[in-house]
Amino acid sequence: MPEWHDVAAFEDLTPEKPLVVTIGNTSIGVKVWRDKVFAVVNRCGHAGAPMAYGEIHPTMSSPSPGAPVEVDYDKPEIRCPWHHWGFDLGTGACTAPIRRPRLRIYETRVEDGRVYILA
Amino acid sequence: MSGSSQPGFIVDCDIHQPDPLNEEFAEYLPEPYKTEIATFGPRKLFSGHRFEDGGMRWDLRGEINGKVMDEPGFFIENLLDRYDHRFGLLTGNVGTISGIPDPDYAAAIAAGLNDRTMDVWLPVDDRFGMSILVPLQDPQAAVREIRRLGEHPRVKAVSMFATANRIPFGDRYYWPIYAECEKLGLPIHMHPSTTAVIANHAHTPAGEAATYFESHCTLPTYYMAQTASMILRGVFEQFPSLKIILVEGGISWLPHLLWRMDAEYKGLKHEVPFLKRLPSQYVKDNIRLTTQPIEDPADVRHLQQIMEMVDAENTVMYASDFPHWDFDEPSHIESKLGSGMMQKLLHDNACEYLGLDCDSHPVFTGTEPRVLADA
Repeated sequence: MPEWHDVAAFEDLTPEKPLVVTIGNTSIGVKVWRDKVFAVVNRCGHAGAPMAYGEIHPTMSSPSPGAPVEVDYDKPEIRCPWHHWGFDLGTGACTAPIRRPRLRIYETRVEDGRVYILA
Repeated sequence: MSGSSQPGFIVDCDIHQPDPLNEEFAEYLPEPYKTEIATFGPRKLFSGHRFEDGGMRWDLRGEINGKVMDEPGFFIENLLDRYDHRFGLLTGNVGTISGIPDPDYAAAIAAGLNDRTMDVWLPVDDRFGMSILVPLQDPQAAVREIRRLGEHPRVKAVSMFATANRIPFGDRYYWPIYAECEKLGLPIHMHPSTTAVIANHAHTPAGEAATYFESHCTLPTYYMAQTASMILRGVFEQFPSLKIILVEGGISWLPHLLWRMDAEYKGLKHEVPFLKRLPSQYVKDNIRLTTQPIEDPADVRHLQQIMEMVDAENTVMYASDFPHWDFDEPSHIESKLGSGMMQKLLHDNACEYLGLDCDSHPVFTGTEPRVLADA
């Protein structure tokens, strides 16, 4: 059964410097973006890059060529540091319409200034 | 001079050391360019595209173990040592000079960058070799630069930027360069420049590309055109020992071109009466391709079939493109193509083609992802 793990102080997380923690045998990248904490498995299923060094961006879409771009900050994606593939931080699905690879996403919470990961 | 006492295994045909065109670099230039660069900075040429966030791997930003990307030590630690390189070909980062209109300026910058690489990079690790820049705007000046540096033992290739030329590479305009390279046994290293391509007045054969994406994924069209140009204008009849390396242009475009050239040769050979062989046969003797960025079909068997079609075991060599965003680890190549051809593809082919000293012959024992161990 997954358990909550205390991994860091929230104030120590910065968008510029990734945090990598090992829980069991799994390396996990912990990222902060717009005051929210995200945790993802630290290995991209495409070419093996360290996802902790990925960047988080809002989802961008457009209904048709030339139409205004819609930017959804409530549906962020993490993009891999190599090749820049994107993965939905809610579901772990690749943001391109393919079934695999997916990215494992871990539930997080912040309590009393501490960051916890369910893993 | 550092470097491991045992030879490594990986031979890497494309490594992009930073080439800052700043005041420190200006010391490598003659006047009036020394003052110009120090005062005004480099002349600008730009595609108008947004580069993919600077074009570098995001995990290499900032300091790693106290080193930053500008330093040779950064490349040694994060590439040569990490992947057990036997050899890495430094190819620089300033392909844009191929598109600058002024041939004298281009010649000065090329020579300055070549000298800087020799001063700053080669002495630090004996696994580094280099491809020298030459001004394609002036083939006679290019020949002078090849004569100046081409016999240096660490110079292993001459750079030409395959997407940046007003005149296709089969044209006799370039033949003095080919003659000199053939004489010295130096391969021509053809590499894209998505910036210098603007010298063609269009990013793609179809016209201007709206985005970096559109430009980058159509790079193979340049390689198709340059390969056809060189073969069908008789470059390899004139220079039968000339060696060409097509870098970063992909591989899967090649079967179509070979089949089409061979088919049409039967009916159109009167246009090229100087060709003595089927066009495809020149590729096996005179052209090699590199892996990065390896094509990524949904069914990897399709890529493996194409590799068989192009005799990849004998015609393809490894390139990392370090530290660029679409870098491929050796293990990524093995995961796509299987281990059977890795001895030749990761080592033997490039050892032979680049003319490396390969008396000792390490045996392939497998690859594995190397970044996450320290992440």
